[in-house]
Amino acid sequence: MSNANNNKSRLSLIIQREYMSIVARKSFIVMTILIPLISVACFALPGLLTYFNTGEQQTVAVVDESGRLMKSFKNTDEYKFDDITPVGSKNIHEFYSNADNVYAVLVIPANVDSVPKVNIYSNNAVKNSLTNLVEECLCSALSDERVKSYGVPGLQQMIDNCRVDVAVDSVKWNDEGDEERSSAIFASILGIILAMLTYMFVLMYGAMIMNSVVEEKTNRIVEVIVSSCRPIELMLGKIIGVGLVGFTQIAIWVIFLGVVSSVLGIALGSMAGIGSAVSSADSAAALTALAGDSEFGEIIEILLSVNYFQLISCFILYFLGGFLLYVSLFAAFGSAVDQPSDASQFTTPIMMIMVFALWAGIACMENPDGSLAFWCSIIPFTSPIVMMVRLPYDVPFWELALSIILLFATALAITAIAARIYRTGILMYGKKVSFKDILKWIK
Amino acid sequence: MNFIEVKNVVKQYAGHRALDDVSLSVPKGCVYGLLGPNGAGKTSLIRILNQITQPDSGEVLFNGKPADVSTMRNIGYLPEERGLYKKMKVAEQIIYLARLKGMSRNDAATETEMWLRRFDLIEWRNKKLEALSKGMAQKVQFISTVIHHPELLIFDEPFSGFDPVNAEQLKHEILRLKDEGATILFSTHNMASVEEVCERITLINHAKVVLEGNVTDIRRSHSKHLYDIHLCQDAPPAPVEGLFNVESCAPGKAGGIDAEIRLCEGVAKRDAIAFINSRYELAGFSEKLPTMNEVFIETVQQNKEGER
Repeated sequence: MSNANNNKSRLSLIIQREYMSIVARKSFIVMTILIPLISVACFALPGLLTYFNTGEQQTVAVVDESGRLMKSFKNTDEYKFDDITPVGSKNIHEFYSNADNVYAVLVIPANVDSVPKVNIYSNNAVKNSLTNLVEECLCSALSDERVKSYGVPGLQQMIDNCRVDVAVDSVKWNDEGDEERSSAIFASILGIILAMLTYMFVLMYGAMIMNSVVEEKTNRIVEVIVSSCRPIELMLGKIIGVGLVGFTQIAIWVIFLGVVSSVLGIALGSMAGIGSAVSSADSAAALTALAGDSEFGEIIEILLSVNYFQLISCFILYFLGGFLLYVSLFAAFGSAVDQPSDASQFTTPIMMIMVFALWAGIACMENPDGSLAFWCSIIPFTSPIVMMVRLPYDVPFWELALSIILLFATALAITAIAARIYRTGILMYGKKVSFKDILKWIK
Repeated sequence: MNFIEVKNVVKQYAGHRALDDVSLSVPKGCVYGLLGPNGAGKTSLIRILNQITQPDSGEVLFNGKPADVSTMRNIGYLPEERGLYKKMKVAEQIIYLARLKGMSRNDAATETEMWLRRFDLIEWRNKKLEALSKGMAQKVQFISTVIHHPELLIFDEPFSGFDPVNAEQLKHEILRLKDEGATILFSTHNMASVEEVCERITLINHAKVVLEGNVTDIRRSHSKHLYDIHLCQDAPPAPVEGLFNVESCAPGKAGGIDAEIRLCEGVAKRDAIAFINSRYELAGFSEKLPTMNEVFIETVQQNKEGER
C-alpha cells in the first residue's frame, strides 16, 4: 500500500517538475501569446494586403478604333483610362516607350462587334484586376448595344426581369423530423481547425519532449534520476507533464476566445439595435431572438446547430489518444540519440505519416464517405485528424467507437514499446543507433 | 554481517558479456573499492546495484534480502559522469532529488539548507546550476547524493574534477559518513585514494573478479620482498649470495646512502637486519609493500598473459 503511494507521489513529483520547467519558461508565455496572433494574421493578411495595395492609380491608354466604346470605360480608384485613338494602333509601341506613367495600352479593333476580342499590351504581366475590369465594361457595353439593335421598347427591362438567382440551402432533418439548417461544411471546417490543433500540438510538444529526453541524457542527470525511480515513471511523467502544459495552453486560448467573442457579441448586439436586450437578458437568448430571417440570423442558426458536445468530447478523446501515440514515439526516439540533430532519421517517418494524415483530412472534406476517409478515420495513426473532419457527416456510431478503441489500444501498446526503447536508450552513449538496434531493444 | 551480497551475477549485452559470474560481499560499514580497467564491467555492476538494470542471472542481496522498493531510496549514487538540470535552481534541484528518494518536502528543505551551509554554497541556493563553477556543481551533486541519509553510498570516481583542497574536504565528508554508519562503495582508478580510504577491494577485469580482499593483505601477498635501507656511510652495500640483492643505490638527501634491497627466498627479516647491522652503519630499515597501483597493473597484466 505504502509502496503504491510512494510510486504515485514520485510520478506526481516528476509531472510537477516537467510541467513547471516548461510553464515557467519565457518562451512558453511568448508562444501562448504569439500563436493566436500569428494564426489571426495568416487569415487577415491577404485582405490587408489588397486593402493597402490600392494606393496608386494607374493609367491605361486606349486606342478605340470602333470609335464608340471609349465612353463605356469609367475611371476607378485603381485605373484611369486615356483616349489615345489619334495615335493609331500601328504606333502604340513607340507611344508606350516614350510615354511616362502608362501602365498598359488597350486596343479595341473596329470589328469588335463581330469578333469580340481585344488586346492589352504592356511590358509587365497585365494584372487580373485590369483584364477583369476591361472585360466587364466591354461585355455590358456590347450586350447593351445588341439589345438596343433589336429595336424592341423595354427589352432591357424584360431581360433584367428574366434573370433569376436560385439560392440552394441544404436542410437536414433531425431525429424528430424537425428541420435544421445543415451546418456540415461549417462543422467540418471547425473539425479541421481542431484537427490542425492536434497536429500542431503533437509536433510542437513532441519535439519538446524529444529535446528534453536528449537533454537529460547528454546532461547525464538521467542516470541519477533512474537510480531513484523506474525509467517508465520518468517517461510517463514527462508525457503527462507536457500534455498538461498543452491543456493549459488550450485553456488559456479558450478563455481568451470566450472573452473576445462575448465582447464582440455585445458589440454586434448593440449594433443591431437590441443593446438594451443584451444588457438586461442573457446574451445567448438575445442571439436566438435575433435569429430571424436575416442573414445574420442564419449564421447564428448555423453556429447553434453544430453538435458541440460531440465535437468537443471527440476532440478531447482524439487529442489525448493521438498525443500519447505520437509523443511516446518522440520520447523513445529521443532516448536513442546523443543530440537532437541525430534524431531526424527517426522523426522523418513520423512527420511523413502526420503530413499524410493532414492531407487525408483535407481530402475527406470533399468526400467524407469515401474509402480513403473511412480507412484513414479507423487507422490509429491518421484517425485523430481524419475523424475530426468526418465527424459532422453523421459517422455511424460503430465506426466512431471502433476508431476510438483502436486508437487507445494502439496508443497504450506504443507507449509500452516506447518505454522499452527508452529504458535501454537512455543508458546508451556514443553509439549510432539504427532502427535495427531499436527493434532489438524492444525484444 | 554483509550489507551487500552479490552472487554469481551474469549480465550479457548485445555482442559481449559485461559481467561473468561475479560474486562479492561488502561488510556493513565498510569502505569498499571497486577497481578495474576501463570497460571491465564496473559500471554494469554499479547499475545493477542501483536497480537501474537487472542481472540476467544470479542475485543481489541487501541486508540478506532481495532488493525491493525501499532499497532504491536507501542508496545514494554519484555517477562518474556528473549531471544536474542546468536550468534548475540549486536548492530546488537538491530538494527535488531528495523528494524523489522519498524525503518529505520539509525535511528535504532543512537538510538542503544545512548542507549548503556546510559547503559554503548557501548564497548560491537561488542561482541556476549553469551559473556555478564546475567545482561548485560537483559539491551540489555530492549533496544530492547523500542528503537522504542512505545506508549505501556508491561513488563512481568521486575525486575526479575536484581540486586538492576540495578533494580533501570531500574525503573528510566521506569518512564522516562512514563513521555515521554508512557503507561506502568506491569505483575508481585513483589507486592512491584506494590505499588511503578503502578497507577492502574487488578488482574486476574482463567481466570477471580477479582479486578480492583486505587492502593490506593484498599488498602483503603481492610483496616482492623489497626493503628500503638507509646507511650512515658513503660506501654502497654489496649483495650477499643467498641473503639479499641490491636493486638500487643512491646518495641520500641528508648524506649517507639510500638503497633498495630484495631479500632472497626464505630469508627472515631479522637475519637480514642482523647481518647488515654487523657490516654497515644501519640507520633505517623498512618494508616496501607494493602500491595498489603496482598490484593493479601486475594483476591486470598477468590476466592478459593468462589469456594468451
